[in-house]
Amino acid sequence: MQPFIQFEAVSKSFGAHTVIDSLDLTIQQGEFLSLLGPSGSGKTTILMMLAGFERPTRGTITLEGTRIDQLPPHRREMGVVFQNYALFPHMTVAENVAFPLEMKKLPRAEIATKVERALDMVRLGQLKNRRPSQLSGGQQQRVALTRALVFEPRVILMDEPLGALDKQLREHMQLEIRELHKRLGLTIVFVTHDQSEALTMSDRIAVFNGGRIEQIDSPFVIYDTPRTRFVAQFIGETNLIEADVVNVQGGRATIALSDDLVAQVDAAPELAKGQKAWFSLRPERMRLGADPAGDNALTMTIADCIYHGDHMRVQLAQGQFTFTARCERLAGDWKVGAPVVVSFDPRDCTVLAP
Amino acid sequence: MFRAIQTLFGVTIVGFLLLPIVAILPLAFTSSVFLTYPIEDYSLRWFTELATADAWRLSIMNSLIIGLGATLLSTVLGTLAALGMRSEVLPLASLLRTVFLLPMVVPAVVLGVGMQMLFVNFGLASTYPGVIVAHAVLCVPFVIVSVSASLQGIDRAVEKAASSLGASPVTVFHRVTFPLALPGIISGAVFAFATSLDEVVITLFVAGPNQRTLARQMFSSIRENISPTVVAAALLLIIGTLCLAGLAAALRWRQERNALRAAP
Ligand SMILES: Nc1ncnc2c1ncn2[C@@H]1O[C@H](COP(=O)(O)OP(=O)(O)OP(=O)(O)O)[C@@H](O)[C@H]1O
Ligand SMILES: [Mg+2]
Repeated sequence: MQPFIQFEAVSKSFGAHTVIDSLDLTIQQGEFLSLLGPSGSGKTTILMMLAGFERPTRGTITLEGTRIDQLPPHRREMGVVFQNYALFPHMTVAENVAFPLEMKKLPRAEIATKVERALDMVRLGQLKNRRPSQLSGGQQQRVALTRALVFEPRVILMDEPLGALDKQLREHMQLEIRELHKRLGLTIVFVTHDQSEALTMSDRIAVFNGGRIEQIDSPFVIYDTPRTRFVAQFIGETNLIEADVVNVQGGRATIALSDDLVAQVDAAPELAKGQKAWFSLRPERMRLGADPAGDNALTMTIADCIYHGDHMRVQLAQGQFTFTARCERLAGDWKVGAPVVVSFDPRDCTVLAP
Repeated sequence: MFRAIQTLFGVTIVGFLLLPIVAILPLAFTSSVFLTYPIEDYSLRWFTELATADAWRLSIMNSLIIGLGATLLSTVLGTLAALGMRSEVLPLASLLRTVFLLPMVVPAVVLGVGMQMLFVNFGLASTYPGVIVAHAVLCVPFVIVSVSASLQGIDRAVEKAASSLGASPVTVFHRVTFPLALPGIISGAVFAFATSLDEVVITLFVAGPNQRTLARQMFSSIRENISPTVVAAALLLIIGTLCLAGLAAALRWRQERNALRAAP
């Protein structure tokens, strides 16, 4: 299948400073792709190159097989939602939404019905004669979204669109955007540095670091099998430990976590005996308790136990070596200083070459 | 105690600034030919004189023609300059800005002499276009300052949004940038008109007898014979300027309120 959007060897420099370094990226039609990464990793730059506000220094961008990297923004048919909404302050809500339709030179009557329908869809019909300054943040956000959707652009680009909203409203808008994406079959490229937002909304997540893609995969794969140390650390919480590979046999490897702690893990094919490797294990994948079920059962000491409302965070130690486990609030009564058996499934461990 | 001193000080300063003006203005309504108190009889004869005496009538017309011409010219040029200096790609934008604002600080006499010499070469001396251009030079800085301020208040993302929604650069300008800058442009134009209206020094150098403006006419009639007509003219000028200043202030206020609200 021909990719919908394709970046080929795209680089972008500002003066001597290279922000994007030879990026290859394909986006499928109807996909919800999140660009996730720390501040300054080049997410906005990529979006701006897609929207036409920045030109790549090198490389090409194609949309359905046609090169677009040299087209001006107004000829790209992409709906952009900016972080601060960027509504036209001198126009009413209805005029804002009508703007892209007027640019398409649609007949007046058609514009009116489309605006009406679009505003009703996001429950803003009542507010259509207000100015943006008379709306709440969430309402402004919905107007911006509607304005970007109403002219049926080929792609919707959003740059941290929910960053300015409070937590509750943000979660509500996440669901709303997800719903619109499913219902209208939109292609959405969504920039965020909020990992839970990326995990809940996306079909795929591209994790950026320093202008390069570290990993691009579905939220499941990104979370469960991070392919680089950066991804393992950046997404969710993890116990990341530099360890020695003691033995590799039939898809299983034995890893020495410390002098006297050894774990069995599912091994990546490239792993070799005697190698150093990074071992990653999510806190919620550990079980604490006396029963030594499974292949891994390490005896450790409870160093601290922190109450978090819906869960407990238990610090485990064995000499210099420490682990953080996350468990149910009622899973047990953990006494600081007491020994405990820590067990986990080899499949839940990730081992990364250094 | 401190507050009382503050208030007293403020009132004194305002009085110091306003009293000379207030003291002379009632004399516009005297029926006597002398500028003296007490006023025995009130009349509008000096306003009639303004409207009928050829010299005065002509000067009022000249002021309006030259004022409007200079306003138009300086508003267009100043707005274009402000737009140009907004672009990031323009090198030395801040140097240019300083150059454009120079007429505000260069002594008017220097400008006047310079322009007179220049205009003679171009055949512009003692012509309407000459005076209009001369006034426009003085007015442009006011327009630039005012328009730049309102352009600075425009969020770039709003213009980007417009172009991503399908607006060509020209359309972005006339549907978004221009309407948002309009209050600044209008208040710049108001300042320009007011500046032209009471400009005397440069007019002395570049205008001929036919381009005698109201301010210039007042200046010379004070030297010839002090008649209450001058006061009547002054009153007209003051009222005109106050109206314009009020208009500018109202626009500025509206713009600030909008800017305040637009911030998320
Ligand atoms: N116009 C520009 N001129 C020079 N450098 C720029 C410009 N725009 C971006 N950069 C640089 O490019 C790098 C990436 O910026 P970008 O805005 O793409 O990051 P981001 O991933 O969107 O970060 P954030 O999460 O903070 O928004 C940064 O180091 C930034 O300083
Ligand atoms: Mg950004």
